[in-house]
Amino acid sequence: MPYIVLRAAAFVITAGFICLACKYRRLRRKYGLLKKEAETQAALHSIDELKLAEYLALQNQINPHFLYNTLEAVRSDAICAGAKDIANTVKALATFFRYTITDVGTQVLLEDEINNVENYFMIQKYRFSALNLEIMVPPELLQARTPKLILQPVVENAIIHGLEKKVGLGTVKLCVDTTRKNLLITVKDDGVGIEEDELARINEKLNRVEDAPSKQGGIAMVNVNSRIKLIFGEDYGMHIYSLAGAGTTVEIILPLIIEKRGL
Amino acid sequence: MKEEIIRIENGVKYQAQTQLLKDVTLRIYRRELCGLIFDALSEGSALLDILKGNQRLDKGRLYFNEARRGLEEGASLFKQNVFAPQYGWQLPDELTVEDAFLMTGDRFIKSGNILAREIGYVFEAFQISIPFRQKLSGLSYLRQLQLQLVMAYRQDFKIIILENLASFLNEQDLERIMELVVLMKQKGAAFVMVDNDESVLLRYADNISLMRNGRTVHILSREEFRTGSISSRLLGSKGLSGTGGFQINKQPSRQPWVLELAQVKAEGLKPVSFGIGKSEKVVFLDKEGYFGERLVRLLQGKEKLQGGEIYLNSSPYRPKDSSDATKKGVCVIGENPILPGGCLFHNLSGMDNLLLPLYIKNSGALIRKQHEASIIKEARDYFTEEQLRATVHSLDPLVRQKLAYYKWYLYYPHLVVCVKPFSGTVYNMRRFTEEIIQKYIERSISVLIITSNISEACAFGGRIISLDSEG
Repeated sequence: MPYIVLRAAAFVITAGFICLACKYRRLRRKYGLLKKEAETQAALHSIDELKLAEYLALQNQINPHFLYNTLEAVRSDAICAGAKDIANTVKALATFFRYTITDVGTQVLLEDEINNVENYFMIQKYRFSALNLEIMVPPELLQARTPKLILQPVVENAIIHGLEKKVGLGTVKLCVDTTRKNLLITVKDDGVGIEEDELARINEKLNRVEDAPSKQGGIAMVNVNSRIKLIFGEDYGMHIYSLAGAGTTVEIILPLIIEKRGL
Repeated sequence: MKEEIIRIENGVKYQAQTQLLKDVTLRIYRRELCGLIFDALSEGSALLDILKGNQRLDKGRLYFNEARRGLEEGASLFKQNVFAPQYGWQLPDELTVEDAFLMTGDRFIKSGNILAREIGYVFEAFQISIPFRQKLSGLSYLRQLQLQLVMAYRQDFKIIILENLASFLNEQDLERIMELVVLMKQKGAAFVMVDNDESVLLRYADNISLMRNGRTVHILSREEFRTGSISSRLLGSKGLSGTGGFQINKQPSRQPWVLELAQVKAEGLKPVSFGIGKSEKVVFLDKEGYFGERLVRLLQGKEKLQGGEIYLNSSPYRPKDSSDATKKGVCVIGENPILPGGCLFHNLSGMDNLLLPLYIKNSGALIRKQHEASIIKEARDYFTEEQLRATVHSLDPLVRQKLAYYKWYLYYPHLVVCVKPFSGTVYNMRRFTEEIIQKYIERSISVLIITSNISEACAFGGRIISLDSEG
């Protein structure tokens, strides 16, 4: 199948998804679901409940279950048409949405987060081939607990703001280490980096615990950082290091919580 | 798993209403050597003062052994856990190695034999050999440093600061100290290293924190250490662009140049061309040190040109020797100018050292008394009359540094060449050096700074000309 047809199919799928998502949001609004959510939030009085509500809002939940079923159908058609790339990308997209959409509570295993990053990376690689992902995680840390969806936004940021503007191959490195009490996750890219003033501004924003991203217009990194701080407190969170022209490193510190297998 | 000893997050430090440290993040782990590179000495000094417990952070978060601690506790925590060896022994010179151990070790008086056995164990564990009965005054700097490090370990200091070792130790001694550092790391010690010579950090550090404008902008792991990449990271957005064998940033098109190198050739290097304008400060960053050295020799007339031409104020510049170079208006301040054999006459007074170049400039036509009086008046911000009358060898290093630089300020040449101006200096000497170089510029004297050190290059500001890795 000619390459242009594959691209067109991918475009149709993406456009379809966007339309469905918009339609779903309109339906929610129509039936007053959003209003109900706001009323539910107002009913939460204790600080902890408010924090939980804020956290759930940050997670930006959408729940179109039919969407990934449709994607599975598209994937089947792509396989039948011999379009392996499209089939694999659609599969990754479906898996990515399933993970993103499914509400499995506030924390997941690091292994799940890494699988999600790999899926996301595969989708990005489809549209931007000059990408390379290296993951270095000691196997025993795969069972560590992390808040859901903290890694993918960071990797997305690295690709969009760091690597897409770079000429030639770009690499994202995801490394995990621990101290006695903390889990240390670093996401490094060798992209274009961030100018000094901009870096200072972003880190200053990250450092202001009291600013919820909803009030600021919702930058993905600020969102992730705020969620971490809401869950674990101000001793945890992220910091960004960068030099223009030399790449960026995002460092995330979380409390070390290991899931014990078989219990 | 890393074992965290100290963590500073979003550290802020003010000094006289100036925010010196704006957002410092620092992690120090057991068994690791953490290198620090600053682009301004004041920031470096401020952070080291905090680590030594002499100052405290004004804002930020501080963790010790992974527990949050109040900033007000910082100074005492750092004092208890951080040790910084001194250049020059702090104990009375008459004490022996054994006495020093007894005084700084545990508080119980022990019999000579038990103490000797203990010292023996410690020395054996760290593979050093210093006679127990030797007086401290007789120890070389290498041995002093070895002894201080071992004693710091014995006193259970968790972190040891290694500051500018390359300025005081030769390559061989540095190697021996670093062997000891490796052994101490294996036994759990952590080190913080700051050095004018980045190549030392690149060789020995496990990670390097880069600080710019009071902020930690990057933490580089060992695998990222490559001289080329680290220099580009530190110089960052100063925007170097290559011409020939060099990288030149923002080469202005202003002419005529005070000094111009046109296709100047040196062995093993591509031809080099660049110019220095009037009242301009240019930093020549030569990481290998080879071309910088040749350039100084060419400017002093100690070496002949192999090709190309050097122009001084648009006329060919070919001095016969360094005295001729000085007469033509090109003065050189070498590395460590305050040491004997540097650019001061140690048996003469400070005043004689200042007057001598003026005699040469005026072919001996000077009225000494009048000139002395005017120098005392002119230089009163830098020297007292007693200092000017005293012989140089009796003066302290800061005054000697001032003399070495001030004599060319008085001489008023076209160009002053400063070779590694921070080499072997302490903070107040560096501050003076930065100040006097600015004075040169204000007096319309052009300045060429030759260094192999990236921090030093950045500290002066101005245009940086960097020799690229391909030479």
